[in-house]
Amino acid sequence: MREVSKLLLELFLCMLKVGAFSFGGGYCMIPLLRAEVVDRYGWLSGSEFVDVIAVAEMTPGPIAVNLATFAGYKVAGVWGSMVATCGVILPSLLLMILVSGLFFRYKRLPILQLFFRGVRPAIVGLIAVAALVVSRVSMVDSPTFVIGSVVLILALGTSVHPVILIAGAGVSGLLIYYW
Amino acid sequence: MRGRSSILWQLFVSLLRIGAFTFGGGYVMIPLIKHEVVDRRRWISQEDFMDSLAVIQSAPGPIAVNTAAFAGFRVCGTWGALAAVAGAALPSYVVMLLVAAVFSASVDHPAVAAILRGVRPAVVALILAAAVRLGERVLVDAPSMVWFVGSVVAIVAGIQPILVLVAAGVWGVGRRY
Repeated sequence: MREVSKLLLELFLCMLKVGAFSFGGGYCMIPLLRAEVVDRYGWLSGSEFVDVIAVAEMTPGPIAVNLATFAGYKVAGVWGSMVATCGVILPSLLLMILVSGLFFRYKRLPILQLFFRGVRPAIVGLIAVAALVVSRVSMVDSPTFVIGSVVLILALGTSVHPVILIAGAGVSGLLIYYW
Repeated sequence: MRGRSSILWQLFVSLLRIGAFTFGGGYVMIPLIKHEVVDRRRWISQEDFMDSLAVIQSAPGPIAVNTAAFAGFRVCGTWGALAAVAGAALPSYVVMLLVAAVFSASVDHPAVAAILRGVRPAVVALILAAAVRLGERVLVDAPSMVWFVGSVVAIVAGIQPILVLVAAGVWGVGRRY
């Protein structure tokens, strides 16, 4: 029982950290989450992690919450999902309460704005690396490469919803690998 | 006191409805929250909401959560923020939990494995697309390009992503002063 509590605490603290540094929301969270959950703690394998992302993209709501819920579930069941979700939300909740309170007294916080403007290119880099890392377990043969390219073109060139793209890719996978 | 609980409840339910029907990530929720909180309920002025977006988008964490928290706080203080975030996150959490349970039980089935093999490259593509779209907006001058390339190299080399982000932010402040 103590083992489980220790795991839950680790998970909570880990998600607090991820939540606190995911500047820019869901996609930014992916590499940070991966660095913790796959690399540091080894709670999930690389391919399991990709599956978590896939499912998180398909369910409603903020992708960051979905990621936390699913990853938490995989690590430590229902309790894990609760703990992870609370952990990832808490830093932003507290920060927003703090900032909102100050907001109407000091409408612009120039130092913060400068900070965040500096961070953004690094975020793009972070997300690009995430794609790179995830591709290692995902692009394994020609069909996967084709699927990936098609989805990329559609995602950039059209406004087809991500859920549809993932569903289409899943059906393709089913057809190619099962039948 | 009753008026306050009623507002908290309304806040919770409004965000719950938005959270339940928003597919595809947090950014999509922002206009929906705005419509509900500014246009429909008139809890916050348009100007205040727009001004807040810069802060919300800059703050860490899920954007939808930040927007909900801000709107909730504006309407009804700390409790409002809690009610709004709870509403926004709850449908997500519940659905995800159900899906996770079903998913974990079925992942060994060869058909499911086949579907996943197809889905994984799509995930890569979507992440890459997100990077491209963000990059279009953000990589507008030489320093940002440098930081982009630098952060890719640094992270691949094994430096903690958090350190890279903080360094970039600090530089952003330092270059002005």
